[in-house]
Amino acid sequence: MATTTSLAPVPQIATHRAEPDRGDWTSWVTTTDHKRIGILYLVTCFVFFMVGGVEALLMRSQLAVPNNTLINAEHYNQLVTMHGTTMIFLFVIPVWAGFANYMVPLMIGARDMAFPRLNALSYWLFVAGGVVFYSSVFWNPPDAGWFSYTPLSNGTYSPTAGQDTWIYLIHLTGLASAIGAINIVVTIATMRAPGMGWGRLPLFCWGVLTQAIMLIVAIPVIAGAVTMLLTDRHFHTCYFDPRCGGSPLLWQHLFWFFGHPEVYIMILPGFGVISEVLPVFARKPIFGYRAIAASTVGIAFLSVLVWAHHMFTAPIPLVVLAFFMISSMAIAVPTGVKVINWVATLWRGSIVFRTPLYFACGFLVLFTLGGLSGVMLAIFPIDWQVHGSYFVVAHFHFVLVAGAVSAVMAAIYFWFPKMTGRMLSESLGKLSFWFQFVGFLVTFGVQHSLGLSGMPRRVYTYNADTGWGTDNLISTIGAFILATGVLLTVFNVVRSLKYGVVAGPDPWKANTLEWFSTSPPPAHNFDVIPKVTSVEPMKDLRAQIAQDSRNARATPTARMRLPVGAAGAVQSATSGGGEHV
Amino acid sequence: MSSAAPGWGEWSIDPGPIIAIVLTGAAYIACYRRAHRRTGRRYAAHLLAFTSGLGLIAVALLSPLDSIGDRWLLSAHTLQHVLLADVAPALLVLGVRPPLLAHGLPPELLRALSPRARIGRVLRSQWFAPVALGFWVATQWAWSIPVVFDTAAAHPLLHTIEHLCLLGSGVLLWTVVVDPLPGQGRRAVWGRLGYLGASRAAAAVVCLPLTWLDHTLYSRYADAPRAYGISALTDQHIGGAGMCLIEFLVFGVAFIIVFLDLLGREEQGTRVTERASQPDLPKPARNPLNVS
Repeated sequence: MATTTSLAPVPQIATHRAEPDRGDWTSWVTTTDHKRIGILYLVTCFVFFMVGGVEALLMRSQLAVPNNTLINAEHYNQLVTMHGTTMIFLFVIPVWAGFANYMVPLMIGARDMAFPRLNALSYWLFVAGGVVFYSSVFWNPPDAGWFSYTPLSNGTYSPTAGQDTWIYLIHLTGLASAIGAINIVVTIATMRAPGMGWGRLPLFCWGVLTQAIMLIVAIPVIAGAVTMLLTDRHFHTCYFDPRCGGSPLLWQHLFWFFGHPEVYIMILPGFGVISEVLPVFARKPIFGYRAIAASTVGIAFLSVLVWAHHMFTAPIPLVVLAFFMISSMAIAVPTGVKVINWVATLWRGSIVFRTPLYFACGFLVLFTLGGLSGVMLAIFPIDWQVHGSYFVVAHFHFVLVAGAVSAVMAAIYFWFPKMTGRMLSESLGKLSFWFQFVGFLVTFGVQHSLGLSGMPRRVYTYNADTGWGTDNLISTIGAFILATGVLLTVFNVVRSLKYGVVAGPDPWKANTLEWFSTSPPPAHNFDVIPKVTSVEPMKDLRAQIAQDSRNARATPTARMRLPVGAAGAVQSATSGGGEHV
Repeated sequence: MSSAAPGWGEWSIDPGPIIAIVLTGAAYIACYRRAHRRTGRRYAAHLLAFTSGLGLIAVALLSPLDSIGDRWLLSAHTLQHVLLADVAPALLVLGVRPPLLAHGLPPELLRALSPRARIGRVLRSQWFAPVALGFWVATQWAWSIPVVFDTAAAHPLLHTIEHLCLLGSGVLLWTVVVDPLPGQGRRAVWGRLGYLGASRAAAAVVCLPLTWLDHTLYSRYADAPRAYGISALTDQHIGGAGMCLIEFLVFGVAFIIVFLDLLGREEQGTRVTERASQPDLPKPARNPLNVS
């Protein structure tokens, strides 16, 4: 009987010709490499984040004491508008595009995005949106608030071109997001590594995929709405002007039909990051992979029918308010499922306290608090009492700063070694975390109290006899502590680019495929794309390589044939970490 | 217009629905008993779902909800339609989900549903799902047009046809989503999520205008005697919001369940393929995803 022998797969070079890197700045401007575009996104977003942060500090400084004259009313309104718009449209949404661009192809075992040129177009449209918007600071910045309610934003009350730059910002960044979203969906749907069925897709990719689908659904609505506003302003149409048959309420419906899914657009990839970070540092598998993935898509499905809870004080029949109250509360259920699964992931894990885990745990605490005040605000009689007050400001900063920004910080500390090949300083990272955590609680915790005592949002000053002075001073001090924490991370990043400890391919002993490649990965990502056999492919590869090593030691004449791209798995299986490399 | 209270004791003894419900229930019990005899299993969840579905149809057609919806309140009428088009069909189809039909249907019916038979081919055709979705959407929209809705409410025969259309289109839509046919395999058809999403959007086209409009759409109910002091416009708002809420919950829960089912099927399919290509692979663990 003939015997057959099976050979280990021979590594093959799949890239026949690679464009040589010119190494100058033009190679960055003309790049279509997903990793470079990701880095461009991240750097640009952080520039905008810094600008938005300075705007926030200016506002907090103005409110630190009663009857302050640091900033006048007009400039304060402009700062409010610029800050909100910058943080939403130029930081939180695109920063996830940056991480998704860099990480998704690596995590699914692809060599690039499906449409690399479209990817570059998406980034440059985003930059154009930001430039157009910030060009208004040289003339008249918009001042109608980040959701630009009509009639404040119409030609009568916002006659300058500043409001138009806001409209063009939405058009350009919206187009960028839509293009990027299509690219993400196609990439994940068609370019996954062999064996990576949908049931093995990393949870960050589930978050990004769901976010992309939501963007494709929501962006056309806001694009249509701002186009209608533009024609109202310049071509005398009457969509939102009640004097000629329009309705300001229509703007609210259209804006929030986009705006509430938008909240989840900003947070779902963050949920994905937390789902990636926790199991790595708890040293155990994620608890309830399917439940977390299902709650992600469930949130997306439900989120398109809850928008009117932003309009509880508009003239709406009671029964309609009741419907939106119940639907808004229902959406807390899948979010709660996630929180429970994350806590269960940590439960009885062999927890390794590193900076990404600090930020992930900070996220868990603060986002849950923000979610609880969200459930309170979903109850419309409560919303009637605190609508338009600092309670609402506190709530959405708990959700967005504590939620999205904490997740962004966790992602930076987690993936920086992969992107640069260097570790961030742990001590600086932990110091930054504590500054941010304490600063955040001091800044926004006290704003709940301010809101309950009646301080309206978007006022540029207040009288001393209101009794809001002390709380505002505390909040302002907290804002500067928070800003110090963010600056510490910026310093950490800049310093570590040159002086950071060399990371090695897999410094965290992580679970997903991006750690299979070198740090930073080569232009083509992987020489060999491994076959995925579970939701934790790196763990499987490490186990396989450790087994092969034992076999090789047992039979010294045997030769191990390792895939060229298996740097991460080999290093962690044999040495167990990268910081000392 | 005077304010009055419609009677809650007006149960209908219309023989048509009663006979249909009894016959359907009897057929299901026969199927259930045959499956139980063959497999020794008790399909309690199937039984509960099917009988709940039949119960809801009885509530929709025989209880005072029917008469109140006919003569007094639009909101009662829309509730009746949601029960017939969305909730009851979902429960009925869940009651016959695999493996009940494979074990419970008589051989001649199983043959008729097999892929080689004409009915089986139609049900497994790639066109079945879009046609079922299209029929459901057309039914939802067409019967909501004010003239059609008012006319149907005034003419018993047309009203019966309307209810049959709603129930039938609901059963077809949920057949696509739940996939109850015997021998259908365990393929992960991700289009099912798309059908659920599309049906959600189509349903919103009906319920959202009712919820938000500031004038009444249906003259029959604008002119109807006012029950419980509810104005015609508030009645319309309640009808729209109630419809939105029930569909929101039904489709939302269904979306999550179908997604979980698809993930399971996908993983199972991947495992089968892997085992076929590498026969020496160890048997799948009890927890195939290697997760808690």
